Amino acid sequence: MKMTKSLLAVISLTVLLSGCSGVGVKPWERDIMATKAMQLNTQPNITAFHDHNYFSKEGSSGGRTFDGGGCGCN
Amino acid sequence: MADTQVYTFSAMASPCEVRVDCDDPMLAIQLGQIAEAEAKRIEAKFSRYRDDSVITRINSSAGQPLEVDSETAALLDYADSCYQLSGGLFDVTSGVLRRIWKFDGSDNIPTQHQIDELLPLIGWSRVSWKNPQLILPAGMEIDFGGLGKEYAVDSALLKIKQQSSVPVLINFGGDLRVSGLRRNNQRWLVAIEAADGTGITSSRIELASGGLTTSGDARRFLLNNGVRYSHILDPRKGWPIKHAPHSVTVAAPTCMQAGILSTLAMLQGKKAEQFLQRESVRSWVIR
Amino acid sequence: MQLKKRKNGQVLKSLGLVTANLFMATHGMAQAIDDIANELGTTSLDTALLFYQESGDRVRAIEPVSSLKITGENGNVLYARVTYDSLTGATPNGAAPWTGTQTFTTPAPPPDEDMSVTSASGRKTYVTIPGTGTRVAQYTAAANELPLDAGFKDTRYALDLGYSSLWDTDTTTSFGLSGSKEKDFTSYSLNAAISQALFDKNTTLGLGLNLEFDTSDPQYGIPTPMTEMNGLLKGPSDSKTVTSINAGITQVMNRIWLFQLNYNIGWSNGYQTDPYKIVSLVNPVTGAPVKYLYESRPDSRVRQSVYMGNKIALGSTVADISLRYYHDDWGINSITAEVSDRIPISDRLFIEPEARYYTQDAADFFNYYLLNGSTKPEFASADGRLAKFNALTLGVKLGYSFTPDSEVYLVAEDYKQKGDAKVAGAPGALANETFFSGVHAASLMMGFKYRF
Repeated sequence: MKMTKSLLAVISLTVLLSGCSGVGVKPWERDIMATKAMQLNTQPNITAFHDHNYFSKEGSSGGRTFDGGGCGCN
Repeated sequence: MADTQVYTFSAMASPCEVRVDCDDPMLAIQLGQIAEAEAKRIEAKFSRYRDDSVITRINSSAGQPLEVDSETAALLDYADSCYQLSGGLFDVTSGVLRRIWKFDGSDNIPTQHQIDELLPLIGWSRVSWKNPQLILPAGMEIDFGGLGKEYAVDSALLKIKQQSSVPVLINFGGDLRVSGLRRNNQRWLVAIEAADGTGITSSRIELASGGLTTSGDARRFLLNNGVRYSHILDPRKGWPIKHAPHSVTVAAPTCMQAGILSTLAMLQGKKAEQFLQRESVRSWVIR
Repeated sequence: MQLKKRKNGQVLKSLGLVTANLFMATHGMAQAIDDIANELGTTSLDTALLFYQESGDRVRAIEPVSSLKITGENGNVLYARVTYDSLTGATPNGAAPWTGTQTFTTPAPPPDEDMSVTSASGRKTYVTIPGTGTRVAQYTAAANELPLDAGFKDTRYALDLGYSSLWDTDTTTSFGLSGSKEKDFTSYSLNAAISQALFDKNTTLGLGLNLEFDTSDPQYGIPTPMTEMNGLLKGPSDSKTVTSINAGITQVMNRIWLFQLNYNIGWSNGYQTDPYKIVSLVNPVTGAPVKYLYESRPDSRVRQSVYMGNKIALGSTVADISLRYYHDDWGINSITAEVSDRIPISDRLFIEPEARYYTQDAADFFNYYLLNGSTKPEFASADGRLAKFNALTLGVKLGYSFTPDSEVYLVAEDYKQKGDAKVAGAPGALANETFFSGVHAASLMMGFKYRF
């Protein structure tokens, strides 16, 4: 699958990059990363609503996490 | 400082006080006790003079891997960061130097040979630290002396803030922190003790927020051939820092930050003022 | 004997962060930075109420949801969420609109259930087909209107449980269980995932597996695909399984930029047809409906998606920008782009405008109608969700913190689908009908988070 291949390439590139010094931060540079606003899922209830709602209105699902949706709406 | 209630106790070999800006003595006692309990908890846990402390357990681990609790781990992480930030100047393993350097105002200077024997036992980089596992090579020692008191101050303030929002000043042996402005938006007044150890105050500082610490050799120094050796030791060379100021007082957002900055400033020797200026922190240097 | 060359004030600044980290770890709070995300040793409760309303008297939903998250001192997390969902309204049944009134026949409930069902679907009438004695339900669609099934009423209960544990500071495993129950649909799933932090926690790799088992059990049974819609009771329930794998990487790019890349693939096998949806079989010349067939979808579906997320701190605001490519072997390809920016108004209040754009192709077997007399395809569906359309969501989120441990939040959104209303080359009068009307919905969510 072409998509899988290119994805693997991106992942290995990212891992490679982060081994170098240019990408990433030192432990004491995590001030911004540590703030609430920078967390990945700051409002889980809203995210769950979005996932469920879009799953029931559209043909696609998944991405951020798993696909599927556990409801009979699609 | 009128109008404040003062609660005093003794911990970490220092006189400690908690000033509470309120009219209710019972509240002051209650908050003072919180601070005292926290100071004593931290002292008991990290004192190297107690057989049952975490530090003693670490220092007697004889090179065996050891798992530490999360608070100790956080402090070790902190020490690790400070070591890196200071390019090795701030080192929690440098305490072994005290075996030969006794800052009692005398002229007992150790020999270079004595120092050379100890140097292999110093260096945070020789310690393997991967949270939560610590491997301290046999013979080496860890000492939180350089940050324990400051940690206790910040920690006690947090504990008090959880209970009450009244303005407080916490002072553990000269390392202090205020919760914010006093009532009526007044600043706290803090005196810096003169470097000559007379106890006569030399200057007054107004503090609105944050922490304040003083590093110096007011009482702890050696005099030899007219050279005054400060008790601030360079962990990489095993010798006291030359041309260090008598004292450096730094104001910073927290007591811990102030503590590290004042220590680092001392370690800069004659460049102390330059360092403090570059950091643009409020500071008072006495030479 | 000097510090490494640094910019002015660098040591103080760095110390601030290190100090914040220290007090976060030891006291669960930061000293200098109040906004630090730290939950060690805390329990947080997040309760919200959602109102959802589609225009044109379609679906309306009220959904209370409550979640509890207990984070241990050691970083292990127990998570539980309970959702209740009450849906009522009308939903398109798949039939093509027509110039005349159309009548649709479904099975009727036994007489003793009349009261409840009648009240639930006011526009249904019950008739007994002459000569057979069979009692059926009927509903109609007005001329030139997209036929809607008015009898739609459902409640859903869902429970999600998760536990994640830290093996060491860099490795986390998590397990989850969820179940949801509707009148006619039951779903259970199990998931397990592992994540590994590398390079000073700048890189996190994650791998997860999800297994889902669904049972579709419509009130009157599952119809045989591609047979004519009728009022007879149908076959037994049917089920499907979904196996999904998710692989992802989260990378701290620099001090202000967090990047996330996920790939997931899911295999669904089993019954995936919508038992309530039909397709019109129309006269190839006039376009008039001949009969209505139950739709039919393949038993297997393989979904793949690539998701790229970014969190970027720009000044005091935090932008969230994400892109998703989706492809499945039913022929649906889609792109989703989302942007939001969290703007602090004060220490306590933030506002976050958000926009989402979605566009998809139609499924290979999607058809608004089938021509009578032509070979019946194996699969056919006129479900608008499988059509080609795009959708735009515009919304705004507000959050207000009373204390560092409590927050109220409000989200208001407008969601609108757009697609080709007409079908080019439709036979006869069908050419003038509006096939795609798209969902247009407004939603409002109010929630309260409290940490103790």
